[in-house]
Amino acid sequence: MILLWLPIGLAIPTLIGWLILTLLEGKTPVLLGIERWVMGLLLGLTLTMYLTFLGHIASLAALSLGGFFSVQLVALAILGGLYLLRRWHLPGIPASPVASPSPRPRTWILIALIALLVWTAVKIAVPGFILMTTPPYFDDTITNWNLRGDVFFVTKNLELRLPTQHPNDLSINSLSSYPPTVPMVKAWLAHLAGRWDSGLVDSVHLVWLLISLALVWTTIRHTASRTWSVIALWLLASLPLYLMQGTNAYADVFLSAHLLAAAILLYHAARAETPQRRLAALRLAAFATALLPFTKNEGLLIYLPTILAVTGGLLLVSVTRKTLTWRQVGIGVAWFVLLILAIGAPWIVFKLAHGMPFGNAKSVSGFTVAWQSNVLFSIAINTFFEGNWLLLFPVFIALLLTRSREAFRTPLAMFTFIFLIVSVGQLPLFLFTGLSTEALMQTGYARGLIHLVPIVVILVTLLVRSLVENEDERCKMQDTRTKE
Amino acid sequence: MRLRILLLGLFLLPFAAHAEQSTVWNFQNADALKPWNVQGLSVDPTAEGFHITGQGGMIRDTLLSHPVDVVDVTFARSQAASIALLWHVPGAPQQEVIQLPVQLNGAQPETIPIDLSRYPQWDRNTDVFGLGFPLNTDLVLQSMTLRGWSLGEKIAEAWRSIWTFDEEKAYSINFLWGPILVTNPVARAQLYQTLPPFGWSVNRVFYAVIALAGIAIAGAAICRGVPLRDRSGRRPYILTFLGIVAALWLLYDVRMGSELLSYAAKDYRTEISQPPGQRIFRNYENFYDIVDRSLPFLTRDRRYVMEVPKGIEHLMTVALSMTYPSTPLFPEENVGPEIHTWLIFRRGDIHVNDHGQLAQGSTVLSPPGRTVMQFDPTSFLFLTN
Repeated sequence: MILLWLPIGLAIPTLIGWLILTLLEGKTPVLLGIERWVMGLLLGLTLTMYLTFLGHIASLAALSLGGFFSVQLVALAILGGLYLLRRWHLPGIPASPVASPSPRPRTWILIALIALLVWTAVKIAVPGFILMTTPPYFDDTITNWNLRGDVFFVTKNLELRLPTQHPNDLSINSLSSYPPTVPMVKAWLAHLAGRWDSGLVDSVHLVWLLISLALVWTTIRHTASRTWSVIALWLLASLPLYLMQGTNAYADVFLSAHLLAAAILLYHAARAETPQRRLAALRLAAFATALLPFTKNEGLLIYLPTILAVTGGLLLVSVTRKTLTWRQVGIGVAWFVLLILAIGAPWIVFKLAHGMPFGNAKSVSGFTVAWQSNVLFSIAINTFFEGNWLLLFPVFIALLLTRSREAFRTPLAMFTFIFLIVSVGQLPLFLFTGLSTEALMQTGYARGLIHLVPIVVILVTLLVRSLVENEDERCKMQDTRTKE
Repeated sequence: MRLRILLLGLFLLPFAAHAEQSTVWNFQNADALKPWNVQGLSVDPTAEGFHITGQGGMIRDTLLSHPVDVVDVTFARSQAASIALLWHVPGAPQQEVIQLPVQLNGAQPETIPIDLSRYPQWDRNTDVFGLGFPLNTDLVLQSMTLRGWSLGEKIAEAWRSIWTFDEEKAYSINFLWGPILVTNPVARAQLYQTLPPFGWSVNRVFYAVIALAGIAIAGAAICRGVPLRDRSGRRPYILTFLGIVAALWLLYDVRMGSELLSYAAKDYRTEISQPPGQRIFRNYENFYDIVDRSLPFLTRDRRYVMEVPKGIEHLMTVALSMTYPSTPLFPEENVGPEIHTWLIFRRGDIHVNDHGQLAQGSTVLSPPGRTVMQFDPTSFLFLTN
């Protein structure tokens, strides 16, 4: 019964997220109806925690039930008021885009798809049940995400020192350099329930896994049938390490969902047929990107610059192809600058003010640059010869090579470039710095792939689809020509 | 049709012809010493086996009629020591003997199954085999069993090893080994006990199948004269290839999904479905259960003392996460008079002395008190008066 607090705790943040997405879309919706709710849940929850963080450091709200609740009510009132104002000025709700037509597949395909969905549901439900009925086990769950959440819950304060520190050690705990979103969500749920219950506070991780799966589904539905959506969903849930992380109280699937949201919105911007729709998608992308620094440290150090670089590329191409004017590009850039400054800056200033490191429990500066042996071997083993990713990466590489036009010269390039920039960009860090231990110990490197695999799964699905359906269409064209 | 089945049966016959072959060298009679060339050791044949003392080695010609993949060495009486397995590769210089260190735990009796197939230096048809013993050896060697398997059995064992799962461990959140191919039952039983596990990743097989399928399908298309630019002609070949990749992916998914479900099944069996006092949680055994049952006492005061064995001090953080805001004392902190609760976990060296105090040897750790709960012989909850 205590798990009932989960949907209750997510309701207002979801509504806040939905409202802000709707407001940012303006007169030109770019999201499917269900997609808006899913993204609303993801981004709304993180935004709510960010606002609570702001209220807390401004001494306006404690991390108490009243503190969390009042911030949410104020945000809901403001956004709800803006929404009603907009409705008043703009009568008639603009229609959301329609999902791609989905003809009924052949019976045997339908049966196979249902079997895949049932198998996937079992693989999520059973470990999910275990997550909620067993005590925390893995190191980061215990020492970081849950302990910090419990400390916030008990002290009602954003404590930067943890009880794992010796009483005489007055320094700030390095784990506190991690953004507090995940622990704050846990503290919020615990306040609702009135007690710390690891099953309840960990259940939110399952929600983040389901959000990732749902976002993959809806992204495919923009351009392809339900058959392809089921395939994509199955592919993502088939990846053992992703499933393992998603059904445990770790924050990498949470970050992967945020990165996925930002990437999807850039993809929508690239696909948009009108400047208005492209700008609307860019506003949404700016919002999702701005929240990245408040997820995990990688969000600030790796994914924010990557998304900005790809956005820059998209804007340049848009101007070159005259799909956007320089003025419209300026507006798009202004949204990114505004939202990133509004959301990212306070967190960065807070970190600087408290002398927190910017890496994950270790500083990213001061590394000696030298070749690190065995790292390439370790990376190859993790990527190609363990059970982590099944056949994903060989298939993905083969598709990149054989479907390069689709991968690099269509809107899918947004996903391709994000993946390549992050992968190629990270490689020197592992090969030449002390971060090599993250690859040798198979910790940080594999986590990096966790963040990227939803993007890769979308790419793989749509590239295979282009291979199959291109062949299909070309066959038909060839048949027609032959008949003529 | 019958002819095909018959031919298939004849083809498969060699795979089944040689089932597991083993040779047992039993040392429980005096004649067993004859083939052995003993150097430096004192070997005394007894009813239990060879009583071996001193330092040195003993070797013999194998004279086996079958290849060897595994050797089981059984001691009636053992000791904690590192001995060596010795062998000679046929064709190598006579004095060139390969040594493999083998750790004995000192169990009474003790059988050490050794998978020799994992060592590239091993020769299945070795002609000389033996054992080397360190200084101050004193043990009783009972028997040695040398075992080998046929090709068919190895293939069957490889298939079984694909479906042999790892258990959920601390590293499982960062990587999963996935299916590993090994070819004998001993290697399979020891599969995930050594890190990294010995064997071939099954991914190699998948990649080989995909590559062969690609070549075969492309070859078939070429043989049938399908031009590369003929899209309608090449489509079925592409779909066939994608179908093979999808089938392998699904097989792999079933394998890994089953492993993840096996983690859940074990947790349900050992933790969730068990009453307090019988719960075992993964490699932390009954630690969570002990802390959980102790919670009313541990959370009564702000601080408590926890004693855990060296090397697993991180369990104190686990306990802290369960009892917060009550926290365990750091090892270097002094135990003040305000501390009343002591949780002792797997510390056989700590006991309650005759004065009712906790003590480690003759060192008194606490004021007098009483044991409130005894969880197992070396774990208990102690409250001071």
